[in-house]
Amino acid sequence: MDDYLMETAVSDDMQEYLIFSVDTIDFGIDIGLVQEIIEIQPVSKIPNALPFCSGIINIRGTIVPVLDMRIKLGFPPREYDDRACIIVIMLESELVGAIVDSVQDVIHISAQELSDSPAVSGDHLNYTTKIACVDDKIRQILNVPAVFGIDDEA
Amino acid sequence: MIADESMLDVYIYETQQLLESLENTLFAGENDKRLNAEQIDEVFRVMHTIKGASAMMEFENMAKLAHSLEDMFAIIRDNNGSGLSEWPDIFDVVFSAVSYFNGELAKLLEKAPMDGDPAPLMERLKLLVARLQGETAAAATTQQAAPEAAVPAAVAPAAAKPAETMAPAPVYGKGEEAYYKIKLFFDENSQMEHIRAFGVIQNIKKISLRYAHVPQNLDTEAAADEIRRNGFLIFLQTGHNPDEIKAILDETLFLKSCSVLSIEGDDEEIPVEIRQSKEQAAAAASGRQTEQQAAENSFESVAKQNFISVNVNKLDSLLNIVGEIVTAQSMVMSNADFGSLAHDSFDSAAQQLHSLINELQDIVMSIRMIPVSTLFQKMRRLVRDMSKKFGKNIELEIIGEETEVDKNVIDYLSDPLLHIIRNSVDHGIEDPETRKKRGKPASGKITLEARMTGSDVIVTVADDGGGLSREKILKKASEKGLLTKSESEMTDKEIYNLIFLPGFSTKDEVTEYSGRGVGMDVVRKNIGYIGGSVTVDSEPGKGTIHTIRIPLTLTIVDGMKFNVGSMNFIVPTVSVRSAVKPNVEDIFTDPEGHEMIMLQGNVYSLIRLSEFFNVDDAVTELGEGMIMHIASEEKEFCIFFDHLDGEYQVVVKKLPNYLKRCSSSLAGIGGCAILGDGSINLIIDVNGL
Repeated sequence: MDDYLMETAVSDDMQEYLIFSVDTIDFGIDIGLVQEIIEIQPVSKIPNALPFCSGIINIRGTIVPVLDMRIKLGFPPREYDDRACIIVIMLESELVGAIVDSVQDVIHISAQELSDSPAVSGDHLNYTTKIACVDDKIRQILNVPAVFGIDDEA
Repeated sequence: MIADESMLDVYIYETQQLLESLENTLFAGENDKRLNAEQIDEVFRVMHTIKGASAMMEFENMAKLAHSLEDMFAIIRDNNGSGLSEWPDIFDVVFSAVSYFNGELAKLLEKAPMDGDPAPLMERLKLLVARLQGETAAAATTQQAAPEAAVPAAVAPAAAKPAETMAPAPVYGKGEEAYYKIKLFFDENSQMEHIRAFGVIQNIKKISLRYAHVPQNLDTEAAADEIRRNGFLIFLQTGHNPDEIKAILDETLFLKSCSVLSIEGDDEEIPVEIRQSKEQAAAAASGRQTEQQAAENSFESVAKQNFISVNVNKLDSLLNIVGEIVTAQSMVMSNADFGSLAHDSFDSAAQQLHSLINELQDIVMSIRMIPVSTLFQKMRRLVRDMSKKFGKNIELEIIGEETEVDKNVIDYLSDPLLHIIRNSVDHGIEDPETRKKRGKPASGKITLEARMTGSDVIVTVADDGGGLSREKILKKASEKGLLTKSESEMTDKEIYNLIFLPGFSTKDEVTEYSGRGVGMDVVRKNIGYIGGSVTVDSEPGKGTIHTIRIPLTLTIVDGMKFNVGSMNFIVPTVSVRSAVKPNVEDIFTDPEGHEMIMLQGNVYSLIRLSEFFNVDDAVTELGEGMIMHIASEEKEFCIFFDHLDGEYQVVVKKLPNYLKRCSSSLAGIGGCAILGDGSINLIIDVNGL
């Protein structure tokens, strides 16, 4: 009985994260936000694009802006290979794509495994607020509003 | 609400459509001061359908009113409608009824109680019917020579029965056709048995020569109880065989059981009043038959209606899928690799597929577009009613009603247009005496025009009234503290456009139609929702013109495709004057560093799109690129780009909102379009460059 209660308690604060890597770092993003993952494809440029924006793509008739996560998270740009993917997420009822180096896995992370990220200086720091240590690997959980700039009215 | 939502939607939609076509019929007829036989049939048909549908939905007031109108038109029809002196009254009462119906539908849409009282209208109808009957009788006696003359007289009193009897009087007689007794039971928890029974009767009516049913009165809850207890009995005479009848009945929802028995001789279950009416039935048969035929005719014309209603969302997804098909098709074509094998048949099949898909795309694109004519017809009605009310004589001229805009645009355009026209009738056009004094024709004129320009749909409302008063507007504006700069600095146009500011209304007294405190600011706000703009200009004593400009969001555009570096653009063809290889000598720089070009003797400023849009891989040598001469209502200039790529018809899509966070400036881009090959093209907003 007690065991049963324990188990539900644990699975209640378990959450699924999509793990992807940019440069040498593994990041996690709440799977609930992810609509689909598509392979990298040619991107149409947009006028006066900010550096982190690669352009727009056409996903089954919908125009989707695509951000380059390398640049957005402060890594040096690099040619994309065939492991690169576009993670399409739903933001404020619109689709936005994020180009990442590769997509790894979907894992469960419980609340116990999450900790606040240490205050270290660095460009991408406010972009990750939580860090998870699962199976001896460190995953930084993406702070989606900060990364995609939906809380600052830019 | 008892009925489920989708049924309600369909009911509202269909009834609105019917009322709209009815109004058009009435307008067509009002010019001739009468309706012709075809038009009378049309009114009859519309009322019949509304009656049926409303009764089905339990909207009794609407059903009753429709029924009374139907009765009246039955009389008119039987009299051929000719030579009636009541036509003006008939038009008025039908128009009022249409307003009543529309009002009730509006309440229904807002989920408000449908509390409109049709009694005054019914009263008017009754009086009118009485007058008509007097006249009909007179007509009948004078036309005794005609053998059919007795028929209308026989039908008229029957048709003028009180509205409570929804179904025609029960008639049961023996003829050539066999007759049957049908017993129906509905599911225990089906609810509204009496309404369902009415639905069944509507179906039975189509196949039967005569019919009767028990309970006779289907309007009350008591009938529902009786049906629940004893079942619903229908007696009918028909040429159809029992299996066919059964097939029709089987379509009924919530049907638990039904039996179809043919009756030989008398049956004790036949209600007394039906038995008694047997004798009369024979006498009335001829009259009945004509009515029956009329009913059949009306069903035929229902079947002829060519429109169905579709949810707009479905059209959106259809459009998207067709776009995908196009893309998939071009992928198939380009990947077809047969090596050395001959593939002539593939080529021709592919070509055929290509043209079919193109056709499909065109059709889908055109489905969402509807002409503004329906909207404009509404205005006709408004002008008619208001000019009667104000004792002004006003003609509404409509131009370009075939202009097609997206469905959404129509929805948003309706209210602002109503408001502007109200203003024009109420405030703009003077009363006949004043007009004569000013040397104008006694009847005023409002011109409503729609037209497409490259990047916009433009709707103008022009009246030949007194125009706006510069002084009054200034006075009012300064009273309300709406002036932002001194009067002397403002142009006339700026002053006129003050009327769009919130809290501005020059008319002191409140009238039924305009000046309810909500002013032109609401117009501007509504148009703003669809990204449009509205301006006003006026000439004292000559009139006022309102110009509504709506961007082509979601509309279809013919555009020229060109590219700047790796970016593809579409510019609306209408804005394009010419595209040429420039003569480098014609291009010079003014002292401020702006590039200018001399084209056909005129000098235009030259915008390098690669600089404007910050494209790094574009042609910079003037000799290697091309020049396009662009003109809109507001400006005329030239752009410099890499090269032209042909002409396309595209659906304009909105740019995603998120894109504003990805770019420092999206000025000059009005939207985007996906071409057949799946490529994304940005649509140039000419006025934004």
